[in-house]
Amino acid sequence: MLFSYQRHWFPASDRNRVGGFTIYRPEILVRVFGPDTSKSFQALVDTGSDVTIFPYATADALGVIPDRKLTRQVQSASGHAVEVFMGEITLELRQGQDYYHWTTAIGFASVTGSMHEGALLGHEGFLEYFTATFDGKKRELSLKPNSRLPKR
Amino acid sequence: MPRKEKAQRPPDVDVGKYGGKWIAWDHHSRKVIASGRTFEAVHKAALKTGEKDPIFQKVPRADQYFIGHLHHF
Repeated sequence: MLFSYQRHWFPASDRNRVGGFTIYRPEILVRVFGPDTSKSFQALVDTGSDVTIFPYATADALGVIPDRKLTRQVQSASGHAVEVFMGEITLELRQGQDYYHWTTAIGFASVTGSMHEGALLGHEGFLEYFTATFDGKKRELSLKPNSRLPKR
Repeated sequence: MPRKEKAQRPPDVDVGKYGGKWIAWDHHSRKVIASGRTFEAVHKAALKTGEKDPIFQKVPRADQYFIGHLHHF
């Protein structure tokens, strides 16, 4: 599957370059299935993240009860330690008739301004199942499933 | 002949308008239907518009760049 990077437009301000500028990020559409319902998110594919993390608030909307006995400590690039609660969900990537669908454990994090507060698709639970090619020139991400992707 | 894959193109994000906020797109990713400070508020507002399958996204603040992310320890 092929995904164009998402264009983020930053307006001109006294903090950045005159005239504004654009950043392209590999953010892709992913659907998350919990026990009660499913929701779609625009999520950042992050090779710098060991784990796949969604905001804690999304667990409630999905009907996931994060296992408070199964917690992990993760550290952001800025050095902040964050506690995440693990929960089992199903992820789905879809493009037209093609789709990949797998069940995995991800972390749900209560975060502050110390790190990205959106959905992060990291190695565990996501990238481990694909051969990912980041094409900086075309600003496209290619995801090809590997043999680790759980069969349905 | 192999089929040429077409890239899925996400919508552009106006960081000046939505930086630091949660937003909800309509299910075609064509327009923002709700925005706010918390996921809960935006989730509620998006469903209230009648959109059955909104797409949620947290937009980073306009004054922040990313450098790497989470490491398990």
